[in-house]
Amino acid sequence: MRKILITLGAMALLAACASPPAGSPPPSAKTDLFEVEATFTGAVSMAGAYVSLPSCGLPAAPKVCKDSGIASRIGLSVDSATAALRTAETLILGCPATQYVASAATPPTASCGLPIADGNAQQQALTAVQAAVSALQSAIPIIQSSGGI
Amino acid sequence: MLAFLAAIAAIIQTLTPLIPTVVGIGATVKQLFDLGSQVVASGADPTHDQWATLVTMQNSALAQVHAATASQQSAASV
Repeated sequence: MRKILITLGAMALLAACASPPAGSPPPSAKTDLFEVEATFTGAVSMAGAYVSLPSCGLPAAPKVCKDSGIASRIGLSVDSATAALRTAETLILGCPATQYVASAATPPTASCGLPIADGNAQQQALTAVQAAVSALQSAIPIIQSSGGI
Repeated sequence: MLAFLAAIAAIIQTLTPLIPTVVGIGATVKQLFDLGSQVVASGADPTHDQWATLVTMQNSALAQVHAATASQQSAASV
């Protein structure tokens, strides 16, 4: 069980570390944002599995369970990383990603699809997102076993 | 010997409900890895279709976390 979860975590990290082909131009801010969003989504999927477990400490708690305090911290980390992502999306895509996706099917708004910040501001936003996603990843424990599996 | 088998059975019984979850996360992470690798390897900006796939997966994952945390908070307040 632990090996499976460690493998999943490693795959999520690998997704963030995929390298562009040699000799290609440096990735754009949109590509960097996409990578960190993919990593965030993988982390949230693992977080969802953890917070959906039954709580430890109950009389009939199963051997694989969640610590309620950790689950609360995960929830806060998810919210914090989500807020950082939405800020970066607005600076890099010109609007939140949901709206950016919808703009392909409908006439785009004035700013959607057009970056509204300079490169430095975009880079700062990306750095903030990466820090928030790292904090989320470190908040997700390998599934706790109260029964010594 | 029977106690050993009973212990194994208990462990399997504990883990079995989690197997679909683990398989589901594995499939999601694999899909994300493939999606991210495609974008990086192309050297071009992500397409709208790639963004749409990612946004759909992200919204689904966020919904699961929010549902579970809301359920935990309501259980704690009872």
